[in-house]
Amino acid sequence: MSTEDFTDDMDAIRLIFFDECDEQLTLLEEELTALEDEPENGEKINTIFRCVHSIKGGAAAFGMEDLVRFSHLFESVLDRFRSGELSVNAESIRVFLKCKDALSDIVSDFKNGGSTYEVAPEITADLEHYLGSDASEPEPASEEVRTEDIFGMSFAPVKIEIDAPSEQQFSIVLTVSPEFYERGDDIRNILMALEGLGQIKVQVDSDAVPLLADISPGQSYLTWQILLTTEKSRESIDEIFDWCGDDLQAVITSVPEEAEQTKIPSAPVAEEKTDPPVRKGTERKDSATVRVDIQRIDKLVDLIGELVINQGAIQSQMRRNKVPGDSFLGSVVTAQEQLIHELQENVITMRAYPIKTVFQKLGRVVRETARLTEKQVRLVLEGEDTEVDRSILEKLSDPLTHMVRNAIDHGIESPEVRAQAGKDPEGLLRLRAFQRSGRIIVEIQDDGAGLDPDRIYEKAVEKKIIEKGQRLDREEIYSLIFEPGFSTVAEVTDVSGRGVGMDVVKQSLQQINGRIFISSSKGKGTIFSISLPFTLSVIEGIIFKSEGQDFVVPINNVSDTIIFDNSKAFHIGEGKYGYPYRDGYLSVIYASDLLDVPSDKKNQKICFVIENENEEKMAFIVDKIIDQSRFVVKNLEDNYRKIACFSTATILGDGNVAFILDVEFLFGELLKKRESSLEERV
Amino acid sequence: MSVLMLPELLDTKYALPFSELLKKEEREFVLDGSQVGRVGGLCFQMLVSAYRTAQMQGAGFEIRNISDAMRENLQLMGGDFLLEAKGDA
Repeated sequence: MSTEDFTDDMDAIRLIFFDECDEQLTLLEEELTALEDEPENGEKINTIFRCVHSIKGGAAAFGMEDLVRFSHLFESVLDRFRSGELSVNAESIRVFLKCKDALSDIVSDFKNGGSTYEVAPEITADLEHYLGSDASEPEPASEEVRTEDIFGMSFAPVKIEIDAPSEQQFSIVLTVSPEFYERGDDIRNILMALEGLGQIKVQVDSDAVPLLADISPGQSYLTWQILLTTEKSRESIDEIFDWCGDDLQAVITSVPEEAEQTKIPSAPVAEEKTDPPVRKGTERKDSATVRVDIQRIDKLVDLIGELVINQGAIQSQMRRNKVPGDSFLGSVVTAQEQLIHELQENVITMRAYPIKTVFQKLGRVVRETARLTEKQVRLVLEGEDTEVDRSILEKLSDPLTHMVRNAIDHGIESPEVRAQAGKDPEGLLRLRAFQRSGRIIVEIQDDGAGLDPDRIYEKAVEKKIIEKGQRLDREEIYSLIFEPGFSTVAEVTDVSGRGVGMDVVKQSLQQINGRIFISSSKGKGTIFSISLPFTLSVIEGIIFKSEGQDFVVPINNVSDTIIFDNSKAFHIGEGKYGYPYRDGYLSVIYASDLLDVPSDKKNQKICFVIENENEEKMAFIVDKIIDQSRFVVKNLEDNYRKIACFSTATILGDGNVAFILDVEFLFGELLKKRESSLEERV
Repeated sequence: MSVLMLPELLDTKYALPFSELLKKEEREFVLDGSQVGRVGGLCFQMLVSAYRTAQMQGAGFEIRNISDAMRENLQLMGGDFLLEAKGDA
């Protein structure tokens, strides 16, 4: 193996280690959150302990000394809890959660290339408090203080004889191919040979082993991680593997010198109790999985997008050459379109994550916010396994965090106020996710005071968001809380900020094509309901022409399509123009206005009735409808630049680019701007 | 409930028949390791798979009368959890 190959392997293993850390940290958070409801559950403390232990073990193998030190300290405290010396309570869970955050920070720092990390002293002090007299003993110089070995044994610094052979530690990761066994060798022999060199600690990663029904007995699924403490040289280890060829892959790394003080003393390691391999939660789905770099999945999504575009090109050429749909070529192309469609849906599903990852973080937010506001809040999570595209999930965390904080700070009343109102002093906050009509719905429901429409109206007038006397229905009044700078609280709090939140929430959700709805009942509570697309990669839309150019309008925003009669458009005053529709009228926007080019309105014969998230409608006038289809979304900023009126773009079968309408923009700035100029048109 | 007597050699050659025997176990995995003199990597893997299957099904997994050699071999390969499994996996 060349030095270059070795470095590549090491980098790959480091990445796997960080991935595993992320998994352990997620599990840690999950178990800590669950521990709050079941403080007596010893299995949860055991799992938490194993998570920290697992991170520590890996960190030691890579010489991440600060991570080893902190996780060891954390683990020592957890050990006291799992042994029953100490009891879990709200305060200890708060400390554990802080420690989990600290662990996340250290892992993140090392992942980003850092080599040292200093944990906030108050966190360390909190932990040492639990260790009691052991921790309060006078400590020697700081560098020598934490001379713990990676197995969790503490020992005092020892004088080392210069001539005495020095021990070294090696981390060895072993994977074997089926051929290894076919030619008569066995992993058992290798491990015995390593044992002959010194003391070994073996951990087996069995996650990849299929269930009996699916296993192929000749295949090899296991990976072994060995920590070898030996006085022998590196060459002695290499000799064991020399004759294994490519059938056995051994990645051997020396535990670096800076971790030297964590070396195992000549203690009887064999007698040390080792923990079973970390099983990631008892509720975990036990299915065979393959770890794949997310960038590869993203690339696959992009490639399938290109495939969809090519499919469109074939169909476009077929139409141009008048190839009948019921011809052999036509039926093959139709079958291929279906296959590509299925392929696309499958790959997009591969990129979907359970919303649990976001909900778990919110558990923390609820606890902290409740503590800061001195309120009692019970969090109920539903539909945590609902899957959402990763690209959406990444952008969902911040707005949800803000909404949860708001719900507790502004929605749920203090225990005293609730008691006076005859409510349970403990407020209820329910987070719920589910699928409906091809979209993901996330609800944030509280049983607090509910929104006060009169108060919101007054505040909006005071803030000059609306004019006094302006007639608004209840839903329109509720939606005022999403206006920039709106806040109904008399005092700015540390929790929900200064009224700059909800407009940002709305904008953030719009960026992921999300819509938000409010329903509220005074004194009973509020439900914020967020509707999200399953993916941002594909959009179902109607393609239309205006002034010779192609555009797409998302199908979710089209509530009706009618023939447009320009002579019926009428002036309704104050620069506004309308078009009769059912029992009322609609504001009018011409698609040609988007292009800022002179247009012949006689060509404009089709009217889309477009609806936004507030169920407001407008008439959007175009020349001609081309087709309804699924379109692969291309980011404008990445490929060109941001263009007002358009959220994204797509590439059509003929290679042309079609812009996809930003409907919210049409209802916002554009409607206001264009209404005045429409006076000249009609 | 039937007890599956394990042979002296759980080596590479035995992995295939071992997998077939384990697949026939309807629900509980109760194995007798008193005669085992050696456990190889592939059979170790089969035991892990049976353990995981039992976990998945909420069924039992237990190796009884473990011989010293089997214990040492399992420990050597990191299989302490197989030794500790009793009743429901």
